[in-house]
Amino acid sequence: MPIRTFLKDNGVQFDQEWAKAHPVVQSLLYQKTVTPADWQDLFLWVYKINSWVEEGATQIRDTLTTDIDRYVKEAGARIRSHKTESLLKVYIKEWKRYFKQTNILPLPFKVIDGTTVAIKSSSSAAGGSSNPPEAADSIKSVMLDKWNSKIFEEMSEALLADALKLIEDERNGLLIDAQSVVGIRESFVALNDNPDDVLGVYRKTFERSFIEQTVEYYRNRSAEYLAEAGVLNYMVYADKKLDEEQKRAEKYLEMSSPSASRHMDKCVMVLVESFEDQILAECSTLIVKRDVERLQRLYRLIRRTRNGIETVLKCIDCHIRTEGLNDMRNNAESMATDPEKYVQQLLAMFDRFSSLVREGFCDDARLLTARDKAFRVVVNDSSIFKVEMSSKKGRPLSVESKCAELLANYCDLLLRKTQLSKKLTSEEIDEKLNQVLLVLKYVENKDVFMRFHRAHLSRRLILEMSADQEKEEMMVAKLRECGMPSDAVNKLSRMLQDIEVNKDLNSNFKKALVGTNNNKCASDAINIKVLNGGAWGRGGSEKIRFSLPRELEDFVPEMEAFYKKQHNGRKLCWMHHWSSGTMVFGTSNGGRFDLDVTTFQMAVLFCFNERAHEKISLETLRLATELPDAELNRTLLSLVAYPKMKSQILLCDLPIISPRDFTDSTVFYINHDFHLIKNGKIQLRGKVNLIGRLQLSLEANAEKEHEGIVALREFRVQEGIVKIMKMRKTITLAQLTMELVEILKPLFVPNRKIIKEQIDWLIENRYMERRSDDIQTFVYLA
Amino acid sequence: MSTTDVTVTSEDSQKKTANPTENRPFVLKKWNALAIWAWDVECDTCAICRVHLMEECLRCQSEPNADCFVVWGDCNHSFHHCCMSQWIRQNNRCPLCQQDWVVQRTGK
Repeated sequence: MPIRTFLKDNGVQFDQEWAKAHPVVQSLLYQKTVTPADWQDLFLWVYKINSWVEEGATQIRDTLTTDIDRYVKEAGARIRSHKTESLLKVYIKEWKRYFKQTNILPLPFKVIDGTTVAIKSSSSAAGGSSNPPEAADSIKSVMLDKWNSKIFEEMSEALLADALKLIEDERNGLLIDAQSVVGIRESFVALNDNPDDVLGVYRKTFERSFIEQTVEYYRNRSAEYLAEAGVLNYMVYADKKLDEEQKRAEKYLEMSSPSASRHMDKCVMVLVESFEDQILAECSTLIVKRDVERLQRLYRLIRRTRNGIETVLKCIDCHIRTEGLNDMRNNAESMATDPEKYVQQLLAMFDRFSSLVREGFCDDARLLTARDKAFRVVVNDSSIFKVEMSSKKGRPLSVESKCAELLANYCDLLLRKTQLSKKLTSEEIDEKLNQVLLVLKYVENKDVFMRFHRAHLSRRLILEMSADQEKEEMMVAKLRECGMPSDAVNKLSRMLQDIEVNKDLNSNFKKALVGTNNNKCASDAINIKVLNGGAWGRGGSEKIRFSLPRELEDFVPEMEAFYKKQHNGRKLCWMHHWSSGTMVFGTSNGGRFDLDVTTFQMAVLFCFNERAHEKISLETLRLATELPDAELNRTLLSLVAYPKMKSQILLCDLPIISPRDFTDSTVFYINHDFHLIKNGKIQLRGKVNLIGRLQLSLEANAEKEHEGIVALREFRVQEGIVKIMKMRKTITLAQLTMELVEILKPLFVPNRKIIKEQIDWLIENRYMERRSDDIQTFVYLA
Repeated sequence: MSTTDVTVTSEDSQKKTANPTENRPFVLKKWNALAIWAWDVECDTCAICRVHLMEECLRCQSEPNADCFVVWGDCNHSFHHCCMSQWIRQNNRCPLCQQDWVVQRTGK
């Protein structure tokens, strides 16, 4: 090592250099002022010794350690000798000073921290030792170690006890010097004897004792307080204490410690979980009372426990169910006939429950889920408003809530020209439609809603009763947005488009009538709509056979000829059960009324022309109109007993009118005294709408309607099962059921019965089979 | 024009009594006739997807804005256009009569 030898004689002597450095080190150690020049020189001297003197670093370390040792001894003596002030205070004062120095003094000696390591490691490598190179302690850790071994180890227990005493004082409401506690904590944190677990000592001593003391402190007090003040007041107490402990922990505990949260966990355990049952017992009462403030407090307490929230969820669920159903039950009678009231009631309930969850439970996601679940039960409840779904063979398949139907009826009230829709502004209608969609989200049998909505829409469009075309379009868009099956929504939007197309067709037809035959009168009287069979359904049920009255029949060939010219390759199918018109009715008493009637009503009424004062039997009317019995009875009933009308167009010879009593020989005749009553006065002029609900449904009656829904559902279930089987090839019944429900959820929730029936059908028709060794597992047959 | 119009109206109203009389108390004022149209074809379901020709084919039913129309071949058989365009990729014959497929017309 020629360089080393050269260095030996370079004239730098340790004693000489250290003599210059030593006073500065002393000043630093004893917190005296040091000029910036000296401070800088210190770096130079240390550097010089380290670079030019062999083993210089070790020598510096040794003398420095001696100095530190001496200082610490003196400080220790000072702490022990002070008897006027508390041990804690003196200690903290000394520690503060010393701790400050541990951040300053080691700075000039940073260089030897490194070199010491380097020399040690190279020497151990040269010696061929297999020991891993060991890093010498830095000056800072030397300082802390000295403090620890000379002072802290001896008095740590006493200090900890003092600190804990202070904290207890604070808990008891006394004012304490928080810095003392913080100082003690810092001492504990600084005492890291294990570099891998820096906070090891602190966690084993300070943190653990702190937590233990907390638990000890509250264990008896909380129970006493509860017994003394009652659970409601106890909740206030616990809430306050938890809050305080949270702040205390932030102040006095090292939050980076992995076990710092144990403190709050323990607090919750001792303050809340030990009395969880008593607190939770209050939950239902508070919910019923809607005591939002107390609920909030309860929620804040229970939120921290491990399982308490489960009970709260159960309470909420139970509350929403019982209150929701009670509400409905109490108003069942008026709600069943009044869709507006029904929907308003549902929405009011929903609002109430939502605000309860928001105000009482800060919209906790778990509670929102519970609210949704319970509300779904209320909406789909079939104990109050029920509809029995049965298949074509008349077997009952499921009992469902009438909600879907009532919602659709309410939509119709809003979108049709009605008293209600006239009363509301456009914005109000929008808002109400949005509310309908909100409730619709919870409805399970959405297919029923769509079917009724579609029936209402077709009726509105055909009878031209829509209040606002834009709203109709908006509604279709919204139904699409909220995830209604696209094939059903597509049909709605095609209906709207189709109606637009028809407006042109109708005006062309009128022009053609005037142009070809100069038939101005007919052109005024006749409107045609030719609809796309795909969008509107093929008339729903089978076409009703019926012979048009002569007055109308004449126009048919003309219309067909016109249409053929416009569109080649299409055939027309007349839907007289959907058509309607206006007639003028003149009584022999001089009355003159405009009657809005269906084509069937028209056909019956035209029979009375030329026989204005005769009585006509039902049999004759049937022969003349060729209407099927059910349809004829319905039509006649609407003419002899139209609801809410004092006097009727036709009279019949039955004392009490009921369609079941109509026989072939029942006779009907014109009521020449027909009049309207307005403001208590008899009117001989006016307009009457007799169409009413006659053209409401696509099907002839509700049972048929339900059959249609069930038939469609059966197909959907088959389709769904085959789709799943194709993908999975082999699947268990449970898995199949789960996936099927997932697929069909946007339409309806299939029950076990329908699934089982359709599986049997599919097995019978060899789409799939049961596995021979396990009958609950199915195999797909390609 | 206007004069002829007027005369026609008066003639008509004379011919057809627009007002109810003692003997004919009911007079038509307006009739809103309604019909459904369908393609005038022998077989009204698409032989490929088994869906009625008046409705969108299976594939299009699940699409939000599908444009599904009907196509006729020279053989006068009709299918959904989308179904047929899939079909002829494999076999350029009418699935019903095995004649070569030539489009005769399409209908919207």
